Amino acid sequence: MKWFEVNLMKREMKLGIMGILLAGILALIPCLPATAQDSGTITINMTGANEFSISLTPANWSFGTVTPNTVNTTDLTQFNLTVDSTSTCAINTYITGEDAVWADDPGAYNWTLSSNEQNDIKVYVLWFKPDGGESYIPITKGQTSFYSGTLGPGDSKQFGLKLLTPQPDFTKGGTGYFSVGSAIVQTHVTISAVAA
Amino acid sequence: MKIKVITILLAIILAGIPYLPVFAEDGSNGQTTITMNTESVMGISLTQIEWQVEGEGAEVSLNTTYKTDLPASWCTITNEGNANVTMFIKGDDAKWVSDPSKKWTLGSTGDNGKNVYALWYHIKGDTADSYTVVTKDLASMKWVRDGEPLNLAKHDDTQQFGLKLLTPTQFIGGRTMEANIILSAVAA
Repeated sequence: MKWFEVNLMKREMKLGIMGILLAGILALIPCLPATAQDSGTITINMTGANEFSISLTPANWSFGTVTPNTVNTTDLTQFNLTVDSTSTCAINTYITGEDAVWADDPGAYNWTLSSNEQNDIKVYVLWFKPDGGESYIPITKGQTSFYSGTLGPGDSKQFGLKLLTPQPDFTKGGTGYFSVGSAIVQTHVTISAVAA
Repeated sequence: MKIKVITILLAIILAGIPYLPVFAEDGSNGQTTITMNTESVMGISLTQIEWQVEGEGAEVSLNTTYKTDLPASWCTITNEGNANVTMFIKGDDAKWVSDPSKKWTLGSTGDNGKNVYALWYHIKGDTADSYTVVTKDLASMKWVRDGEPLNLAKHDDTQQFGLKLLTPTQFIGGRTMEANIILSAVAA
């Protein structure tokens, strides 16, 4: 190995060591104590996470016994959506529904949730109305805005539901019936939230 | 050269760590379960109301077995209501139409005898050639394959069955004997 090759290697090594030292210095810059002055300022930067949770009560509600092609409503204060007070941001809320199914055998009998506010055989309609709201708003399987504004930590909104049952599956003695009798038909209403 | 680039990159990354904002964000759902109960109405229909048991010459012979022409699907039971129902069956003695006091007793074991006849049913889809004895006591119709009762859970549900009859070992000929079988639907 010639002398100039040795020198070149030494130079490369020096540059590497300087680079590592520079990295260490840069990394330590925010943590350096102010020892050289009478006083020093440390700036701390943090961005809080958008964390939130909501709760919907009651978790269960029964309309009782329903008959075909009839409207059933709850009080407008029956359901309550609350934004947890420890949430850290405002939220937008959306409401969705589902098809209703026979609880004993969901695959054997169900009602489709209407998308056009019209009932039919095995098709039912669901609406919600906020307490103080002007009109009922249809609930579909797609997301519908629940509250037009944003909701903040600790906010709550009460609302009611309106249900239009399907048209009868069959008629006996002049009375319409569903295909399953003494049965429980069950659905879910979900309110979801995203940070505003 | 490579070492320099890597160390400078490392320096920038290390220097930036204290300033990384917390971007984590969470979603949340609330759900309520809505239930509705439906009204119930009961009713069944049968596609057969009569079985004319005939051997050769339109008469039956002693100690002979007869089956309905469709052994498993002779009669269709249809749930005309919407209640989940269990089927029950009950047989009766066969009476001479001219003098009902003269009769063939319906046996309770499937054995025949003098003026004693036997009756069975077979449900379509049950174990092949499996028959269940019909007696004068109202009894739940059951599948031989698993002992489960015969159910019609909802409107328009159907089940089919056939009958088998064994005539007495002795009887007086020339008499037209008539028996009634009752099928009942009971809420399950």
